Amino acid sequence: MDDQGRAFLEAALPHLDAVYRVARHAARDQHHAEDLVQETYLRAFAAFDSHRGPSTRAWLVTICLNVARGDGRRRARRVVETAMPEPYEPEAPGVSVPEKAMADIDRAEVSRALEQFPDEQRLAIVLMDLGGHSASEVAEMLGCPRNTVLSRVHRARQRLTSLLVQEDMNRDVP
Amino acid sequence: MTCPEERVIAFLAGELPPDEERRFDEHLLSCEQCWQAVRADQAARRALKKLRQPAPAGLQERVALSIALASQDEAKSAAGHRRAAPRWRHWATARPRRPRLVAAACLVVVMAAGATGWLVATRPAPSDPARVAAVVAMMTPGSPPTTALRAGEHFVIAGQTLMVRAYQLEGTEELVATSARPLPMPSTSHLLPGSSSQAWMATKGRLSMYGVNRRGGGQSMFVVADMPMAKMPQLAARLDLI
Repeated sequence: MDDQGRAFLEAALPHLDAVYRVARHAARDQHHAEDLVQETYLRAFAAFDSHRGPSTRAWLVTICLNVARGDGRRRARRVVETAMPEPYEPEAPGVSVPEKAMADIDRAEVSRALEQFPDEQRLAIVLMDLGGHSASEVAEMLGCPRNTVLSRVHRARQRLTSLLVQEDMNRDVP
Repeated sequence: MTCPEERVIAFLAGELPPDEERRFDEHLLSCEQCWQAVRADQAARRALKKLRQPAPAGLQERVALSIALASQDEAKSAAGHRRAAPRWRHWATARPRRPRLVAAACLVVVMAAGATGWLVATRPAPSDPARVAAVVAMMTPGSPPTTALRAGEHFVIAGQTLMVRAYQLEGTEELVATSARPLPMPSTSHLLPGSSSQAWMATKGRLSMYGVNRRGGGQSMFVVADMPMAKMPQLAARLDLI
């Protein structure tokens, strides 16, 4: 491998987990996610010369999202960004959060709940809470205002808790 | 009364000025709606931590290997390395193609390739990269007719140029796709050990695939055929792919 390849791997491989987490929720299953990660790294390597940004992780995730959108993999779930203010409609006003039930929720339940989200909410919450990106980075990745990102993430969290609490209640019904 | 959402969001993001944050803290003691919103927000963040799983085993190796191959490929191109014509090309011209297969492959061409030759390929197998899936679709009866691939021509799929050729060997039809760059492998593929190239095998229904990504700028390729996977290495050898 040449110096360029080594430099790229040194800079990009530490972010594989973060890229995979985003890919896993931008693709419809694990196989697609792995394919998406491979293509992301190949494209990133081809563009490595022009990468000057401060955050390699954000750069890789942006490429990952572009690949996911561009190759038609997610045609049915394409993100449609809007800068229009969204009315505040609490998902479940006053819903009580049973701490123990939330602690017992398993990974599969969280994944299933996220699947029910519209793209713009799921991507925003995945990028911030799983990818660990700042609201400003997510705003740049998704091409929408920072306040819109914060609003989407907040509503997505409210909705996620509401869905998980509801699922827990349904499970307890004999 | 409904409290403004922006205030809750700013509080949770830690963006309220100190005075306002103190006032909101006090507000939480008396406002059940805001209090539950804060708790729900925190509960969701805790739940999402459960999804922070690492990338699957083997993915890092596959990515690193792909980059290593692409890196060597680029280095060769940059050095102006003149490649010898690959053996498959001689083979292709030396043996007659089976017209029926070429015609069948052409039948799947419903969308015009267009002047640019840019193609939109279907993904018949959920685990196959677009370039592999497009070729597999040519061999799949009843595949959705959106794969604008034709045997014997160059096409660009997902930014990569492929040449697809149709062959027949002892009554078995094969499609061979070649590219100057390494091809992404299906995530279900099995890697085969090799010192100078990266070989992989995978299946899709009755079809089997055998691919070789060459180091050092050689042609990368894969063959798709309707035969058991165990016979693919032998087929690949007969096709001079390995």
